[in-house]
Amino acid sequence: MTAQTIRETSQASRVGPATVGISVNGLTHRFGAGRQATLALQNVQLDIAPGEFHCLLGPSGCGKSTLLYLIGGFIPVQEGTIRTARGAVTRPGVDRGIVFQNFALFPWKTVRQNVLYGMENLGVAKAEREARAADLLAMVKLEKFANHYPSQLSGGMQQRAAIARTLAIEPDILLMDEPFGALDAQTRSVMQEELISIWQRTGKIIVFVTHDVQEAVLLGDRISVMSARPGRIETIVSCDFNREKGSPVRRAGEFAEQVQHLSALMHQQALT
Amino acid sequence: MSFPPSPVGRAMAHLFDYVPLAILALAWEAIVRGGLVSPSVLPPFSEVVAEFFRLAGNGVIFVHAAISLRRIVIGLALAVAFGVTAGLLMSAIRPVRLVLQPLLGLLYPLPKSALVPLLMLLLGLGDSPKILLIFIGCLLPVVTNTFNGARGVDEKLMWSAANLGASRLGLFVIRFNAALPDILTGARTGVAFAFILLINAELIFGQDGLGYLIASTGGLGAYPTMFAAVILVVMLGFAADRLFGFIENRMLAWRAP
Repeated sequence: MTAQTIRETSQASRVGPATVGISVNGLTHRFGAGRQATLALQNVQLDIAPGEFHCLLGPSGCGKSTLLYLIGGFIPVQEGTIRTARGAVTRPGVDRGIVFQNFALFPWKTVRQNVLYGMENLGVAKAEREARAADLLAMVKLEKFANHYPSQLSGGMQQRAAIARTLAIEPDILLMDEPFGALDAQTRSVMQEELISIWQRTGKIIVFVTHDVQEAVLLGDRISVMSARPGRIETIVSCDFNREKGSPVRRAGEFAEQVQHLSALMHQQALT
Repeated sequence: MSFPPSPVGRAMAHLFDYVPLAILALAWEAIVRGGLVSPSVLPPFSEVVAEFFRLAGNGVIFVHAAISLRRIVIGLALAVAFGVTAGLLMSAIRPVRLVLQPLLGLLYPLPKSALVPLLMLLLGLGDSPKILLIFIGCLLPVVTNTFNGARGVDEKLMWSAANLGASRLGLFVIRFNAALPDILTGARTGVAFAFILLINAELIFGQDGLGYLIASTGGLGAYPTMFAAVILVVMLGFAADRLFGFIENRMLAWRAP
C-alpha cells in the first residue's frame, strides 16, 4: 500500500459513518461470578468523536483500564455494546492499537524487530516495512537504538519504542493505559508533548487512561471522570482551551481552573 | 553502567572459585597421609590422580565415559523435545492439562531409581532401559518448568501480540519465547538428574559405562580406579552444567545484565 492510497482510504473511512468514532452503549461488566462478583463497570455510556483525544480519569479501581481493555477487545463484552467505524468490537484488532503502562515490549526482540512485528503479521512487503520502521524510529528518536534490546533502554525510551510499535500497524484508534505512569516527571512531560504532536500529525482517536488530573487536563479534548465501586462515568468535561489559540495567560488560567475543579471532584469521590 | 573487567581480572576471579576444591583435595591427602583413615579404604588423592592419568593414557576410562555420555545426551534430548511440547500444550489446551497434570502429580514423588529393576526386566541390560530412565527422570523438571513458565507469561505481552495481528501459531511462538528462561532452567535441572539417574542405573545393572566401572572396580577393592572414575563423573557433570550455562547465556542475551 502506498502512502497515497493510505491517505485516501483513511479519508474514505472518515466520509462513511462520519460521526462514529467509538460508541459505548449500556456497558456493564462484572469480575468473578455469583455472590463474589464485583461490578467493575455499570451502565457506561460514552461517545467519542473521530479525531478526539479522550481521557478516562479516575481513582484506581474505578474500572477505567477495564473500559479500555473492553474497547481493545482483550476481554469479552458481557453486557452492552461497543462500536467503532468498523462495527461491533468482539476481539483484539489492528484498528485499535494499545500501549500499556509497562510497555509490554517483546524482550527477546530488538527495538527494530519489535516495530517490525505487527507489519510482518499484516504481510507488509519487506522493503516497505523496513522503510516504515526506520521512519517511525526516527520519529520517536530511537534510530540510534534500533538494534538494542528493551532491557538496554531507559523507561522513556522503552515507552517510545512501544508507541512506535503500535503506530506501525496504523491503527485508527490509539488506546493508552497510563502509558507515562512508570516514567519520571521530566520524561513524562517530554512524552506528553511528543504524544500531542503525534496526535496532531496523524489525526487518530486517542483514548488515554490516567489517574493524574493535570495530565488529563493537559492532553484531553474531553475528559470522562469516573467513580469507583461500581465504575461509572460521573461526568464528562471539555477542555476546549487546549486547542484554542488564545493568549497563554488566559489558557494558563483556564487550565488551573479546570484542574482545580476536577481535583475537587476527585477528592469528593475519594471521600464517599 | 560498569566497565567489563579485563580478561586477566576475570581469569583471576574464576581462579578463586576453585580455591575450595583445592582445599578439599589437600584435606583428603592430609587425612590419609596423617593416618586418620586407612589408605586401603581411602587411597590418597595423589594416588587417585595418578591412576586417573594411567586410565586416561590407555583410553579405558574414556571408552566408558563416551558410552555414558551418549546415553545422557539421547535421554535428555528426548526429554527436552517431549517435555517442552507437552508443557506448552498443557498451558494452551485445557483438556491436555486435565489429562497430564494428575499423571505428572503421580510421577513427581516417585523415586525414579525405583524404576531401574522394572525397566531392566522389560527392556534388558542394554542402552534402552537406561535412556528411558533418563527420559522419565528429566521429563518432569522440563514439563513442570515449561508449563509454569508458559502459564506465567505476562498477560499484557500476549495481548500486545494479539493486538499486533498475531495468528494462533504466532501467539504460540510468543508464549514459547517468553517462557524460554524457565524452559532452560528446567532443562538444566534435567542435566543434573540425567547424570544421577544414569550412574545409578549403571551401578545396578551395567556391562559398560562409568557407573559400571565404579561398581566393578569397587567390588574388586580397586579403590584408586573407583575413585578415578567417580572424579571423572563429577568433572563431566560439572562441565555439562557449565556448558549448559554458557548456552543459556547465549540464548538469553537479551536479558537485563
